[in-house]
Amino acid sequence: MTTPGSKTSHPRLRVRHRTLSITALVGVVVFVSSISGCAATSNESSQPSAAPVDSYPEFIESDRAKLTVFGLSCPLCATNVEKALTSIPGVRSASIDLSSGGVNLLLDPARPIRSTDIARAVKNAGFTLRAIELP
Amino acid sequence: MDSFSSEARAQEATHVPAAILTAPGNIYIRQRFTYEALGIDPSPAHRDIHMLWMNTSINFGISRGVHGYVDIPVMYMEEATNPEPLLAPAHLPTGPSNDGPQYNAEVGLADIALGVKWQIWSHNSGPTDSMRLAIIGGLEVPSGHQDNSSHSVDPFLGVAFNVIHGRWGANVSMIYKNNNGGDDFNMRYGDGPADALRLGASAMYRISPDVYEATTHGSLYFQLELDTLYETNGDIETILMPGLLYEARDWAIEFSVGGVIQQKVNDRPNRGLQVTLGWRLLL
Repeated sequence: MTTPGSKTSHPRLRVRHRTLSITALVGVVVFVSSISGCAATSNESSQPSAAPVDSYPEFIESDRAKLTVFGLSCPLCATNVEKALTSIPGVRSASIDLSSGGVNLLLDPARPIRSTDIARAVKNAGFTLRAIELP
Repeated sequence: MDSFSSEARAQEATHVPAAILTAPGNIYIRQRFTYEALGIDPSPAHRDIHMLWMNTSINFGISRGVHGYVDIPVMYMEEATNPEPLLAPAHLPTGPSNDGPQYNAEVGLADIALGVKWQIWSHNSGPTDSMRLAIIGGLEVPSGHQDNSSHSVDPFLGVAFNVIHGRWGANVSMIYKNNNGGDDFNMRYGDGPADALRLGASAMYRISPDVYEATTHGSLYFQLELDTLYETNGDIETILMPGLLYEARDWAIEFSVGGVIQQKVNDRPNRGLQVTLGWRLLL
């Protein structure tokens, strides 16, 4: 009930607004804390910096390579990037180590692959290629 | 069924959408079986309703950062009606109230959701740490089923944000649906003529393993979801849903129980208990 000239203060409106506000506040807290937390993490000096793809050989002619990939949050994520990499002609297999983001590739030396194809496959799968190590 | 925002994938809780996409060329199938017991019905039919949903979601990567999905809900419903003889709607069974409740069961296809998810931003800050932001949009289209279809094409649009850090993951989402039709005495959130807004938040914690290893092939998560469902007719409810998710390299199973912690609905039955079992498969 309201009186003319007073602010609306219907009980049902108060419940509705409070519930929406609580849920929205939870969302804002999650968003802000995650942005600040992950920004701090990404600034840690212990993390290797990514070398640009054009610093790697254009063609990889060895029988194996090791990638460092960021963003592999779960087992299903690992399968997504594994499928993306094994779809590249010349890649025989890809095994994922979730603890380090390491991806061990077995390659066909008779079918050299482009490092840009590896970078594109990882990126298209939704992850970040940080490094390629060759034997 | 609130299928316009029901799809989920890895590192995504059972009900609240996350900004996680299926990679291009991959197909991700998901099925959820949900039992719902509805409570007090404000319609003249005074229905006591129990429902069992089977929601099949087919998700496919279209291109980098873009993902499409189709949600196909099938509903089995049992209702007992005890209507007031002079006020009951014409399409419901009627009779003198002293005959007692009348029972009815039906099964059919509800509205189908066709959606697209566009990941507009992502940042991978560690081997397992990431943040992602996606826009979700699409249409709910009528199935044509006599009683389960809404008979209108309803667009929806929203946004989802996901963060994963160590053993923790969190999602928040907001989805708005414009309803162009619907029965006045609908049964569930989003099925009536009023527009619907859904605010969701979820947290996931990896119970096992403590640390990922080279031989890790599966993870067990505890999940806790908070869903606020608001309609522009003033109905609102908030549901808390704890559950478990086990995720392997190309499949997952999930379990969730939901209970209403706050509810003010006048135009549809109160929501009661909700139990969900589901599985996911990456092809």
